[in-house]
Amino acid sequence: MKPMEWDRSTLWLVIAVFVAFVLAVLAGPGYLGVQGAGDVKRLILWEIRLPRALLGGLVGAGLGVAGAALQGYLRNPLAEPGIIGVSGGAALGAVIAIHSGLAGAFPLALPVAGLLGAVGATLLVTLLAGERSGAVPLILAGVAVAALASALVSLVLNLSRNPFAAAESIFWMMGSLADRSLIHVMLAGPLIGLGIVLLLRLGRTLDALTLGDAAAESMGEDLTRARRLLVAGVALSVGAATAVTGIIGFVGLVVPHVLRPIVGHRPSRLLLASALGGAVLVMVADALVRLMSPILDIRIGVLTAVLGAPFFLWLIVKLRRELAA
Amino acid sequence: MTRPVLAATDVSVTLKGRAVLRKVSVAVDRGEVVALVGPNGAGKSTLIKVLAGLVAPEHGQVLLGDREIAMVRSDERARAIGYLPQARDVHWPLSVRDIVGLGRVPHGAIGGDLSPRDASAVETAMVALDVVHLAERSVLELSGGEQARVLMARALAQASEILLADEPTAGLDLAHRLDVMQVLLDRAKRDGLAAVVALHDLGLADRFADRVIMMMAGDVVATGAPQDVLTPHNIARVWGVEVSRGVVDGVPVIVPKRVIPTVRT
Repeated sequence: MKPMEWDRSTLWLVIAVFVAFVLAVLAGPGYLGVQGAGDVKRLILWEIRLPRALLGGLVGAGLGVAGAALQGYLRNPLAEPGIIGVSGGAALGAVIAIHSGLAGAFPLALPVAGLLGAVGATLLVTLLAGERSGAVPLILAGVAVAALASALVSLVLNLSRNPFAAAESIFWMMGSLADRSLIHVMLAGPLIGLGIVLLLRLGRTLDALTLGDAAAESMGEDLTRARRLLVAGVALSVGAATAVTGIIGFVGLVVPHVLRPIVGHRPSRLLLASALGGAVLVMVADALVRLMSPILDIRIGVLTAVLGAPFFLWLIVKLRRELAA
Repeated sequence: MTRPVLAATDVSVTLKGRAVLRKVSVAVDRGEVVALVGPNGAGKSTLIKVLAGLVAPEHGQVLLGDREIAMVRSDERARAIGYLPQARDVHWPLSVRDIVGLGRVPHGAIGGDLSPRDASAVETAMVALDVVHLAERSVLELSGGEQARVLMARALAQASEILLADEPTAGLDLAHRLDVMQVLLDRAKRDGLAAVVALHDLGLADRFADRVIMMMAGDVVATGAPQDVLTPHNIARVWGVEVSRGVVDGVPVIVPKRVIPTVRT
């Protein structure tokens, strides 16, 4: 893979992001012609479409780069941002906000509680896995915390006397970009952006880790710093994304895989590419969801899961075939 | 007297309650190849990791030049000391050229963008280890011995003044075993490389090393010129194997004859 090729694939991805953004702004039940922009159209554009497209791009970028970073760090192509428990924590926070009535009282209580849940899950995972242990303790701690969060969500739903809150929780967890405003963009945007910046700095260490921990350390890479950057970056990007949109699964898993044949297997090159690819995927998926909405009201998190799970199965079959060969 | 480039003094390491190194002192100078020999579990790999600054000893100190190794910045240390781990981990199907190029990471190469100087170091290392014809192949498709050469080329491309190689010849065919040792010797004599090489092949140690350090159960039991250290007496004591040592056509050979039942417990 030569630098020229890489530059070209990045360029194509940037173009794809623009195309997807335009598509995301134009697509939807309300037709937005270029001519005769009336007040309603302007309202739809500025209050609904634009925040939604922006948020979709940001969330997708965060999920994509987090997936690529985790796969590189854990050296496992099946790793997904949810694996370290951050999205589970965010979901728990949001569900508690819905059931306590806070979400009804203040519009921003829901995403803020989601953020707090993500922070709590991250702290717990760090506490359990230690600061500089290898990949396995991090996965185990992440799976344990995700299971705990999921159990607590079930508990809250189980004990709920309010069927509306329960229904709202379930729908929230399915993930959606609908009805999000510029305030949501401003709340999550800087956090996701910061998370992406932290994760993009991992490139060199992830490359070195290709040869194992000891070799990477001998090449001057600080693995403690890498672990901190990784956990903080994933917590910020995935935590903030989940807090405002609910769980949009499989993006972080699928995007690096789709990109590997194009940009190569080098972890450093996958980071930026996966951010761009994730943005494209989520914006396009959301446009699709909106176009389908008059006939079939399906949530984006459900769409990505319905399309992503078979992809995951295919991935396992492919991996098994490679191992057999 | 010139100071050795890398020296460990009285280092002790305990892992899970077991003394892996007991007050071991070793040093390596510019331009010399030092072979580290000893049975499995003698502490060779741990000693190499201590010398590389990757394992901090509980007692004793390691000096890189005139500085305590823990005080040296990690990027600076990486440019001074190359390390080839015994475990041959490769986690992604990168091309051979990309893997060798990772040796330039300590010199600031990011994302595989190599400067002309990086590229020439990579090329030289690939030529030295005879992997040029594999350059564009995925490293995971190669045989074990080929992978070992690629990883050795990676360590060589780092162009450090010290190279610590943990069993670089394990799994290599006859020709490439000689190649690897010859490359180390050439680098030592021509460029002043200081090389510490853990070896199980005593014949190679005998033939290529300037100095041999023999270890047993965390101790250094003998150190010096190959012919003084690799004696039948020492080998019988450390490995419990009766050997004959001789010279055939000017090349020293060590022929194992039998395991001595009484020595090995």
